[in-house]
Amino acid sequence: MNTVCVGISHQTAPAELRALLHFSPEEIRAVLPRIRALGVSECVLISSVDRTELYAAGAKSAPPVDELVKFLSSEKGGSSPLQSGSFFTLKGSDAAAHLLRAAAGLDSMIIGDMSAFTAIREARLIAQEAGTIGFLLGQFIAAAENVYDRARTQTLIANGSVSVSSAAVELAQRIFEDLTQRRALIIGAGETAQTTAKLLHAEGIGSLTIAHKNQERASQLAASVEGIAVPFETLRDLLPKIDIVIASLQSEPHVLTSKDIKAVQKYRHGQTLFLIDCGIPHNVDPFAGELENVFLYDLDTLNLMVRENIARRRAHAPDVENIVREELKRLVTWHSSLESSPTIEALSDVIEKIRVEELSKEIHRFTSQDRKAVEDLTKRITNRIVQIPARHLTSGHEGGLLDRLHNVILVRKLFGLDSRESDSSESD
Amino acid sequence: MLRDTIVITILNIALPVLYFGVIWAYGRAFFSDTTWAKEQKSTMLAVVVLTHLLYLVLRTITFDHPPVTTIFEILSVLAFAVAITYAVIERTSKAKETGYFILNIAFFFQLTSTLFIRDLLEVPQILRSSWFGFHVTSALIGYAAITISAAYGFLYLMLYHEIKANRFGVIYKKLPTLETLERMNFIAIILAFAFLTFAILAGFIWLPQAFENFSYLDPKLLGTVALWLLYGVGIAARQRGTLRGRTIMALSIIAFFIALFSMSVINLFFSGFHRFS
Repeated sequence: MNTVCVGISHQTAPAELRALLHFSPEEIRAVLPRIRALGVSECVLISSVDRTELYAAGAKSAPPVDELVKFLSSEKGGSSPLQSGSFFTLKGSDAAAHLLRAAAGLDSMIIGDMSAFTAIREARLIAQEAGTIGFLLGQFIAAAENVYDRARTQTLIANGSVSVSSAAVELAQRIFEDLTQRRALIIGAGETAQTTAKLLHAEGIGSLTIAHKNQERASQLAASVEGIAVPFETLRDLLPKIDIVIASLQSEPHVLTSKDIKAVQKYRHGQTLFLIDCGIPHNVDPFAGELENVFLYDLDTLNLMVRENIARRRAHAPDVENIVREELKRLVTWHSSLESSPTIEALSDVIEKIRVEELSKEIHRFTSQDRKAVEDLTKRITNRIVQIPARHLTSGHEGGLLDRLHNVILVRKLFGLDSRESDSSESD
Repeated sequence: MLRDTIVITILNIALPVLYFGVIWAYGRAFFSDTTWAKEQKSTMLAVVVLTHLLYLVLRTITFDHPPVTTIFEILSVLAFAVAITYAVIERTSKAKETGYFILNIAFFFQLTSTLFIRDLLEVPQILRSSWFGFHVTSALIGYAAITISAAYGFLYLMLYHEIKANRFGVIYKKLPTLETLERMNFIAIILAFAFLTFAILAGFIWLPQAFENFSYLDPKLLGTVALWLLYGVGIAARQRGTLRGRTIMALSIIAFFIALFSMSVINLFFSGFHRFS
């Protein structure tokens, strides 16, 4: 395969370097034609939080990886090009395998995280608009899409929450039937509380109220999640109407005591109350978790849940690796079939088989002396017939790579070479 | 008659097999996430319920009495009642994950019935009455709903304790949410109350005419009315919001055992006119 992959990822470069080499969609659109001008027939640039990777295909040979690395590092490094030591380079089927593993979530910072596929899909769309994606890389991306679909539907590699915030929201969804009917209160504005609030908002939580000693921070968070900011002093008054509480204050022990919660539950007639305590030290009295219909979780418990989910995902990694292997084999086999020599050879075999079959029906009419002459004559005829399409299938003939590939596919289709090959491999 | 009896026998043998097949599908859907099982299980249940209904109707017509004259006939009706009650709850709540647990009850009842049932042609005339059939069938559906509400109560408590204990295994991942289980429990309680109401009303209309020694103080009658009142109070408390969550689940399990006591001990040892077989 005349394809290469150059780039950096979370495996090879720290976050600062990845941030430096990150390309926005607009930047990708602008840079793709310039990459093409380096003598590349096709290119796709994928850039996300955890990777920036350039896939390129050459018409007659693999594109020069050093040139591509130099281009990327100087593109973002300006007058001080980035160190090339953090770049990795892959060629041929290794490049294809890397793409497939990324799409399957096997190469993500957290195993099973399928966000790389979102970046791949976006990169494909941009490359299609820019006209830099062609036959070869198109097939690569199609294989990546297959892998993504199969990994997601046939395994549990993407199941279970793998962050504290998503674990908290998942717990809420196991307790409450319909989050859109529920009301949440965020106490404080720590990072975990912010992320959890955003996730709840994305899930359509009925209402979000933010209480913080710093009214400005409360208002900022409230604005980002379409919530309401309230004075910190009023939070106890709000509790009876709240179903989910997320506490994230630093250095504020037991903002809510078990006595507060017990009084609230009496008023709420025992309706389920879900508390997440992200504070250090604990913002909520741990004894509150022992009250009936009160569920209290702290960071330790949520982290435990996350670790268990990651372990479960890892258990599915071998199945996903098998899927990647199958798709890679299919891609490589397909690519091999596009090579001229195997196609010419297969065509020759088909025509030779026809020659032998027909000759065997009539050879008995000839004398033993004439049989050799008939054999040579029919061979010469079939060889000349094969040479006509073979000329159009070899590299260097008129037309570029694309024309040659189209011709190969046409010949294979017209003569049924693929079905004949699969029939003969089945009978083997 | 002979042909009908043969058909009844075939259906009698087929029913536990069909129930087993449905439970297997629900089990595959729950434990293995098998796609075909998730898609087909409700349809399979509908087929089994209809087949069971056909069986019960055929028995009624062929033997000229509702199939509630012996304990093993009653078990078959109970199995049907559990299956159809669950089907209604599944349809109204749109939560399909609990079928495996509930339908095992129906399977067990039907299997016992299939193994020991006898076809009675001669039964007391009183047992041929339509009122009798309606009264007993309503009562059995009511008790089936009580059983199901207790099953949901049990599932709720199981999930509740899993979440409280930070255990996030199969039960946590596969069962419906706590609120959904609570709602399914409540639907079962409503059905139980409704059918017990029908049974009691039918009983009050028919029993005094049918039995010379009828008494409103019959222990079985009193037990049933007490159960009915208990469920009525529970529904009112739930609607007012004074009883929620774990408490009402525990109460539904306790109420089930009270019902079991009423059906078994009171019926066997203390009931007067209400006991017949």
